[in-house]
Amino acid sequence: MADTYSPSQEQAEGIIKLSGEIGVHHLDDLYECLKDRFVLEQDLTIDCQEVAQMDTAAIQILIAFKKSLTKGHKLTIKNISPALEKVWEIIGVKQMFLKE
Amino acid sequence: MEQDELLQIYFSEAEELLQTMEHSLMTLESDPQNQSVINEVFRAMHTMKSSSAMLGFTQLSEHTHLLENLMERIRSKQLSITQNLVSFLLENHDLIKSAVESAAQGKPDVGLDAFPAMAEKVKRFLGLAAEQEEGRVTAPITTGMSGGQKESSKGSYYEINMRFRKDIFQTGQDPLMLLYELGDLAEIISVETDLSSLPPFMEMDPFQLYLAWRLLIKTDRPLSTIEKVFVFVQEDELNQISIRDVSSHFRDGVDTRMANKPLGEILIDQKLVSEQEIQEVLTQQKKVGEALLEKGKISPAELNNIVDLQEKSRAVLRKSTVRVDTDKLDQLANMVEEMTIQLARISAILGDLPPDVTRKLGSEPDSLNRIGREVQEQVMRLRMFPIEGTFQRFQRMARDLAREQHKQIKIILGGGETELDKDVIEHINDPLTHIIRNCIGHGIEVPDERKQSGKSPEGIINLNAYQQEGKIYIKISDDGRGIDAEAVRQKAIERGLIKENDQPLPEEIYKFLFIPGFSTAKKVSSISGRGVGMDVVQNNIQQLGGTIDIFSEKGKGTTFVIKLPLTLAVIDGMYVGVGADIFVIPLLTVLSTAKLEKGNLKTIEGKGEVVRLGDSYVPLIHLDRLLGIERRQTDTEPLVVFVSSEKRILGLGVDEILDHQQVVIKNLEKNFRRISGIAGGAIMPDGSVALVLDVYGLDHLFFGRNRVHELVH
Repeated sequence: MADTYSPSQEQAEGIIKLSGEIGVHHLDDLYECLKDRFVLEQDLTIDCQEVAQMDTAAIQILIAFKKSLTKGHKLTIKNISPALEKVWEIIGVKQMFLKE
Repeated sequence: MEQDELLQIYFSEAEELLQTMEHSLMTLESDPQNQSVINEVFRAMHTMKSSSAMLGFTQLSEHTHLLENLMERIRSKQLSITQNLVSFLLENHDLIKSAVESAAQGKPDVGLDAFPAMAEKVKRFLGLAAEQEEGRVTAPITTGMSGGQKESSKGSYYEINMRFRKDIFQTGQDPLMLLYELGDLAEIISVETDLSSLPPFMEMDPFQLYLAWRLLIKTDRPLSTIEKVFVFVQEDELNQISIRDVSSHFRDGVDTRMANKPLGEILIDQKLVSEQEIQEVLTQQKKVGEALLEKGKISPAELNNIVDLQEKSRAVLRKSTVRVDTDKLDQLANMVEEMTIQLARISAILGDLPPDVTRKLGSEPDSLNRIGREVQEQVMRLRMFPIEGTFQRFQRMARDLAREQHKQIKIILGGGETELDKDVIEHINDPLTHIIRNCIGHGIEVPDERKQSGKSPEGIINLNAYQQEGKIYIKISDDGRGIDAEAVRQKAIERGLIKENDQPLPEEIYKFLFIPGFSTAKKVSSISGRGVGMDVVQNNIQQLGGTIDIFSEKGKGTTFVIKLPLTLAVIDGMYVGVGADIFVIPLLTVLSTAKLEKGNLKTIEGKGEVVRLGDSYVPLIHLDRLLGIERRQTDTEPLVVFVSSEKRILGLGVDEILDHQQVVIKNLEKNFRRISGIAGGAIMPDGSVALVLDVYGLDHLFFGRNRVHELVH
């Protein structure tokens, strides 16, 4: 399957929509996009409805983001597909993302 | 196996099962919904039924069968737990217990006549249950096993640690693929992701891998198949992969390592909470689980699941222990001790050999000695038991006494895992019983009285055990009415122990309660009855080499603090020479040593000599005079060993200080009567016997004559 990935922010402020297979080739985009959000110190929601797959490097970015959030700010991940949930379970971070 | 041996196993197992039953039933009284406790009672009844049948105790087996049915109703939620039902089950427990005890004493037919009537009652409960059953759907029994552990117990367990080179992504590899592959070959029981190397988000390089993993897998496949998964990454030295067979820790699919892990650690392992969250709740004076629940960090279901898993782990571990007769343990301890003595003698001989021989021997004798010491320590550890069982018995006693006296009492246990020497555990039971009875009978007020003084109607007794500075502490405290120090003082004046205008400190006043017969006189109630038999309590504790102190505040409560030596059997000792004799002073009591110089001595009229220690003077005891030993004329200057006797610092005058060594204390009372000031005997490396001094006893011996006087000064 071809890599089709795009972080888009067309929706309301504070929501990032991810789609496609998020792999090592799109790390820069994903990291930069989250960095912009990080400095704003806001609650953030990531919509994963259109995410087909994620690799370890991408997951690691999300973990670092979640871990580094200042107190009082939340990262919510919504529309998680069973496939994505399975990946997180195998990597051992499912509880971390699904809690809250 | 001999029938006799089988019977012994049966009786000790029955005792344990009955203890579990009793403890669990008491838990159910306050937590009637706790399914894992209900299961525990059920399992205990079930095991009791089967083993009784096996050994021909038919009536016991039949009765426990009925009770098992009753428990099954409770388990399947057809019957709910009420206080009456718990009381009824406890009555049944008592009946079974007394029948088992009679059987153990060789009277299997005694106490059986009460069974038919009780059986009828159980049947009535069961009949009642049948009525309740109508219109109810039987809920399936869940065992609470987590997903990963439900298959058969076949297969091996491996722990895999994986840490990869940081730039692994650039090589086109992804650990995820390896994890997938493993998932195809084995059941992945747990994955722990190590995030400790992960930098803050803004500082990370997204192209580097910071994560590492620890996996627990279970598989029927050979180890080589699992190793093949890593064949490519393992070629690179920068990838660190280790696979360890941990099957020995698993029994019946349960990780037995969980049994002894603190709950907090398990919750972290399972990623349910973070280490920081545990640290935060640890600062509170609450149970970790409860505190986390309150803060909403975990759900009740998550907590129950973990507690259940841990219980299973403990149950499995219990099953895998071996029962050993304590006589055999003692024999083993004796033999190990003889071995250590022989080793020490050999060491002494080796020391006299010519250098070329000792050079050849190298460090071998030292390692042999080290191993000997380790074996000795391990054997001594076999004698250690957690105090939990003893504590639990008091819970039942308190419940029954409180009911009798129309009081409401809650016992809070802490430190049940603290281990004590088996001899100490056996001998500590009576004093503890006495103290707790006093707390319930005289300390805790009736609910109305408590309400009037602004307390909650339910009185609290805290039982706590812990280890500190080489000693075991047992603390018993109540939040009752406390001791009226003034009443005790008056009593002491009445008895002529102090003068009218003496105003001793409260701690010193409470010590009067330990004087035989002090408060057994008529006006017991005026000092809340404390002191009845307290002298016996103190004696029992002193015989164990311990001490007891009382702290109390009128209207607020009383605390008893018992300090006991860690073990009765082995101590680090300092050998000292007095005249021609050698004594051992327990090193724990030794503060310092010095030359006994004339300039540092003073004589106080009527009180004997004192010796300077720093800026103050402490009483000096000449061991030769106290113990009636003839002094040797030596050229050596006399020395003083400063020791702490709990009450005060003492200087012990000795002729020489010889050596430090671990010694096994031998009880002398089998052959001699108890000698004040002597804790026991120890065998020296040359085979001769040295007496071990009991510093507390020496203090007693030296000051005993002026005891009352000394109590208030």
